[in-house]
Amino acid sequence: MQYLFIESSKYILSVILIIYAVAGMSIFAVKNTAFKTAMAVIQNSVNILFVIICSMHMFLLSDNAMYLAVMIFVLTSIFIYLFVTQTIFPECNIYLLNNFSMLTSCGFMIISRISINKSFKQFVITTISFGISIGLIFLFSKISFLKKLTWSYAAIGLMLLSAVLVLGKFTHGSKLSISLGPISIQPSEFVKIIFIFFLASILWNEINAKKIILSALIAALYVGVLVLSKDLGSALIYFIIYLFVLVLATGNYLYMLLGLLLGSGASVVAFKIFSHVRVRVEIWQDPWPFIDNKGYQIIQSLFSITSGGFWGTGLLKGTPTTIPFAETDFIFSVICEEMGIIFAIAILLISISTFIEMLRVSSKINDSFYKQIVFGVAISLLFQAFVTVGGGIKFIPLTGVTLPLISYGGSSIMSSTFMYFVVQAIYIRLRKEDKKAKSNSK
Amino acid sequence: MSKIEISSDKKLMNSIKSKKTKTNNNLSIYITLGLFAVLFLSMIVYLIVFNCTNSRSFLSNSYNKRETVLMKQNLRGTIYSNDGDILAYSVQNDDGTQTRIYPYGSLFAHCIGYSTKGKTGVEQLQNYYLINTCDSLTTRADNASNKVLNNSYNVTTTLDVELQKIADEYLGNYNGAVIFTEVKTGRILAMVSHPTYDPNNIDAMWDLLTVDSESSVLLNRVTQGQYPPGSTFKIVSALEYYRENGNGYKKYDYVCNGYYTYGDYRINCFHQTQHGDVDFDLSFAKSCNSSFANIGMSLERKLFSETLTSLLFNSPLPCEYEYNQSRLIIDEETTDYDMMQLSIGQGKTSLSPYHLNLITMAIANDGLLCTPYIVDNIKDASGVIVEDYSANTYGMLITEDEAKFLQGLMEEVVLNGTATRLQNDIYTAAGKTGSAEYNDLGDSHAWFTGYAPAENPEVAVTIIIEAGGTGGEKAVPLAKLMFDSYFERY
Repeated sequence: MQYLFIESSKYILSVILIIYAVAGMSIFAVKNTAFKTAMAVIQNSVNILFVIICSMHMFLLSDNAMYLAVMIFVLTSIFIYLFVTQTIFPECNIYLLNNFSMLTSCGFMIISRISINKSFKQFVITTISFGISIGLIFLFSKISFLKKLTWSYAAIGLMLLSAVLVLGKFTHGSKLSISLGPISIQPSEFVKIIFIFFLASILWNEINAKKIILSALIAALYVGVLVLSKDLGSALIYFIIYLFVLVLATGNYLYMLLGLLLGSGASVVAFKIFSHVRVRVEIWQDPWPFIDNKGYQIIQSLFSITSGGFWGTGLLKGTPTTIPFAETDFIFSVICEEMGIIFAIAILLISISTFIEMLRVSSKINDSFYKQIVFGVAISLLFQAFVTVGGGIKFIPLTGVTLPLISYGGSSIMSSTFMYFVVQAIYIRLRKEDKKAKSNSK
Repeated sequence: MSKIEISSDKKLMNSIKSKKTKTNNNLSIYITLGLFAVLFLSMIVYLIVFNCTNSRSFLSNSYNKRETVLMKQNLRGTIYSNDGDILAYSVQNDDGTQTRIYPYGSLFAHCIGYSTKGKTGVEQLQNYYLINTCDSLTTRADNASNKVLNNSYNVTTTLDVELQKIADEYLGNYNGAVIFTEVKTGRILAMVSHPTYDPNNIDAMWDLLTVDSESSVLLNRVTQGQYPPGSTFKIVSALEYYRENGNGYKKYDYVCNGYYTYGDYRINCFHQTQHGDVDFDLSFAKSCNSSFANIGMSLERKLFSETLTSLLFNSPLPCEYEYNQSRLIIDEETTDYDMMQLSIGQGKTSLSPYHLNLITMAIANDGLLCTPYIVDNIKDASGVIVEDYSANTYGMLITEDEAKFLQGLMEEVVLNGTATRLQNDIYTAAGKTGSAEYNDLGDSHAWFTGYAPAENPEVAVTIIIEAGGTGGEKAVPLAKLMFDSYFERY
C-alpha cells in the first residue's frame, strides 16, 4: 500500500494541481458568486491535500521524520495565511490569497526536497514577511501621503542599487547582494517595489512631457546601474515594468514602440561593450561547446527538464541537485524533473491567473496612482516568472532571477510577499471605499 | 425610495463611472493581458516540444547523471537477434546493482556495443528504451516492496547469429570488416569488425583497450575504417565512363600488355598479367588496371567530381553508427597521374566498407537505396510491440538504367572474371573484387562487394580482409559461405 502510494503520488499531484489551476481560471469566466466560493473551497482543499501528499511521499520514501515536521509547519502556515487574513480583513481578495498560499506551499515542498534546513529558513522569513504585510495593510488604509514621496522613492531606490554596485562583491559573475553582518540582502528585489511606487507617483496625474522625460531618465539610471552590476535579469524586468506602466499612464502605444526600439538599441550596444552580455547570448545560442564550464549550468538544467517527462520522476527520485543553484534560479527545472511537465504548466497557469486577477483589480480602480501600482506589480511578478522559466528552459538567454514565491531566498520571498500584499492592501482599501460610497448613497 | 429608482440610480452611476474609467486606460490593460498570454503560451508550447524532441538523446549524454538513478530502479532491457536469440541481458545482483551479460562474448561486440563505459552500438541507439520501465503502476509498487528491479523495454535487432558466426570465424585472426544487408529493406543481417573484444570484460579491460591505439580494437571498422578501395572502385570509374559515353562503351576496345604508360608514369596490372584484347565488360570482369588507367585518362574531372558527390563521397552517410566520411577530391588540380591512380582505386582515395555496401545495395536495388537499420522493434515485457521500425528509402543514388548497366558488369565478374568462385547451382551472384595494395611489396587487402541472386537481388555483402591477399582468392569464398547460409535458410 505504502509503495503504491509512493508510485502513484506524482499522478495525483499533477491532477489536483491542474484542478486548482482550472478552478482559478474559471472564476474569470463565471460571474456566479456561489460558484466562485465553491472554486475557492476546492482550491483550499487542493492546497492542503498537496502538502499532505508531498510530505507523506517524502517521509515514506526517505524514512526521515523531519518531513512530518515540514508537513505540520506548512499546514500551519496555510491556516495562518488563509484564516488570519480573512478574519482581520473580510474584504480581502480570496483568489490572490489562495494563490499566495498555494505557491508558497509549493516552494516549501520543493525546497525541503533539496534541503529541509533551507525550507525551515524560508518558512521563518515568509512568516515574518507575512506579519509585516498585515501591518502594511493597516498602514495603507491610514496614510495618504504615498503619492507625494516621488523623489524620495527615486533617491532611496537609486541609493540602494548603487550601494550594491559599490559595496557588493562579484559572486558568480554578478553583484547582487550586500552583506549586513550575517545577513545578505539583495536590494534589487525590494527596489522593484520602490521603483513601481516612484513611477506611479510621478505618472498618476497631469502627465506632461517633462514628467515623462524625468521618469525615463530615472528608469534609465536604474537599469544602467543594474547592468553595471551585471544583474541583467533585474535590468530587463525594471525596463519592462517601466515600459508597460508608461503606456498604461499615457495610453499611448507609441511609447511602447519607441521603448522597444531604444531597448533593442541599448541591448545591441551592451552586447558590443560588455563581454558578459555576449557570453550569455553565446551560451543561449549553443551551450554544448561550453559543457565543461560556462554552459554547464544551463545544460544540467535542460537535462533536468527533459528527464521527468509529463508526470515527473516523483519527489526525491530525480537528481535535480546536479544543477548549481537549483533551489534559487533553477527551481522550475527541479519542478519539471520531479513533478513533471504537467505540474510545471499548472504552476505557470497559477502565475498567469494571479496576473489576470491583479489586472482585473487594476482595471476597477479609478485612482490612477493605485491603478498603476497594482498594474506594475502584476507585470513585475509575471515577467520575472517569464525571465526565470524562459532562461532555465533555454527559451531566452539565461539571466538568473528567482521564481516569485517558490524560489529559495530571503529577499526574493520577502519582496514577492510584499507585492502580493500591496495589491491586497489596495484592494481592501477599494472595497472599503466602495462600501462607504454605497452606504452613503443609501 | 422605491427599488426601481435605486437600481436606475445605480445604473446611472455605473455608466458615469465607466465613461470616466474605461477610456483607453483599460484597453491597454487588455492588450497587456493579450501580450503576456501569447508570451506564456509560446513558452509552454516550446517547453512541451523541447521535452518531446530531446528527452531521449539527452538521457544518453555522458554529462547527464540521471541514468544512475534509473539503473537503481529498472533492470536494463534485453537485446535479441532477428530470431529471438539473446544477445545481451542484465541480471540483478544481491546488492541491488545489475550486471550486463553478452552470451556471445566478442561476436557482436561492435554492433551491440557496451553500456558501462559510455555507450556504443545498439546499447547507445536504444538506450532510452533499454533503461526506462514498461511496468504498470501496481507492478512497480510490488517490485519496490519486494526490492526487485522493474522490467525495461526489450529490443529486437535485425542481426542473424549464423551469418555473424560465419563471418567471425572466417576472419579469424585477420583484421577486417564484413557487412551483410537486405537490399530491399535496408535490414543489417551481419556486421563484423576484427580485431574485436569481449564486452563482458569491458570494465576490466578498459584501460588496456584505450591505451592500445595501434590495433584500435574498439574501432568499428565497418563504418569507421577507411581503406583504399582498390579495384572495387572500378565500379565508380565504370559508372562515370557510362555517364560520359552512354552506350558508346560497347565500342570500347583496348589491348593490354600488362602495363599502361603515360609520360614517365606507369600503371601495372595485378602481377603484370597480360589481359590481351579486352572490351569494356572484360576490362571490368578481369579487373584490368591498364585498361582502366586508359579509361581514367579520358574522364572529365568536373563530371567525375559530380558523380562522386552523387555517390556520397565527402558527404554525410545515412548511418546510425559512428562513422567516417569517405574521402576523394577530384578537381582541375588533379594531375593526370592521380587520375590514372584513382581510376583503379589506388592513391589518396579512402572509403569505408559500409559506404561501399551502400553503393552495392543501390546498384542491386535498381538505383534506390534503402537506409540500413539494425533495430527491428521495441517490445514491452509482455511482448507487445511499442515501436516498429520499418524500411526507409534514402533515395536514388543512380538511375535505373545506370544500375542495370553496372549489374551487367558485375554479373560478368562472376561468370568470366575474378569472382568465379561464386558460381553454383542454387543461386546466381554478382559483384566486384579488389586487391588494394597498401605497401610497395605488392601486399594487398582483399575486397569483395556483391549481391545475390543476380536476377532478383535480395542481399548484399561487402568484405575487406586486411593483408588477406587477392579479393578473388580470399574475400570471395567468405561471400559464398554467407550467401550459401542465407539461401539455405531464407
